[in-house]
Amino acid sequence: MFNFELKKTAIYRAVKWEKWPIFKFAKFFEKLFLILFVIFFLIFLYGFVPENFSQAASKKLLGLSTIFLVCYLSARIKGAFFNLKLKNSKPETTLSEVILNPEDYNLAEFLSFEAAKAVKQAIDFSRRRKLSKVYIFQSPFEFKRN
Amino acid sequence: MSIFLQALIWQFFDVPKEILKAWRNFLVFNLNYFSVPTLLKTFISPWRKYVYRYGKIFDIKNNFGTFIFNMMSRTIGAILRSFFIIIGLLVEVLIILIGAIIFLGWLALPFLLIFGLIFGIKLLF
Repeated sequence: MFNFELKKTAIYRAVKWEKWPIFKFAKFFEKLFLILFVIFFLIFLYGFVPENFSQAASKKLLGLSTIFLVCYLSARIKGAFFNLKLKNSKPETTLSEVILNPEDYNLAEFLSFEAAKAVKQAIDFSRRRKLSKVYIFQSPFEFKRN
Repeated sequence: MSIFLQALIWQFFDVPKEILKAWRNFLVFNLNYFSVPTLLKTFISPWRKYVYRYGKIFDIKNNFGTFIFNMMSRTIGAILRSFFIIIGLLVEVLIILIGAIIFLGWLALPFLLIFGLIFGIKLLF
């Protein structure tokens, strides 16, 4: 018998964290904040360089563009953190060690992010349909379609 | 481990480690690209191996000419090699500076973001 407990793995936590709005909409907010920063910074430059706007208006435009730049960089860092760290959590043991005594290790730890997502979807699918077995092969097709 | 702690470790340990690795790779690549170690080892070797052989020991006139030619070949070699060594070292310094900016910039980024946010809000109100 081998040991396969997806819920006890770091990659499962990453699969769950992916649904958090902070990560789910990171890409959207990244683009939005970049566009807003560029727009406000260009308006600021238009007003500041030939002195088209008052000093107070220029200050506010610069403030807004600074805030949007900070938001853009934060969203970018968050995205990088999720993609580079959370999605790529490595198991502490190597496969060559595990293969000697597979029952002593949780094999789910060796799943990649996409594979863990597919297994989670399969578990959820089987639970929804009240099936006694988990149809792992069902999920990748659904996953691909999605 | 909490996600916040993981983020801190990633920000201040994992990524800086990768930046240092990449920085070192760029430095090693540049040294090899300009062949700096090889050029230093062969710094006073004759240019393109252009050398005359010395004649008999008492053929002083010919031997003196050969000596002058060989010395010139070595001098030209040294001048041209030093040209490439200097370019290689200048690019190396540039990589050190850019790497330091990126490395320190990454470490300071969270504080710069907080400072930027406060600065932006202060400008607004």
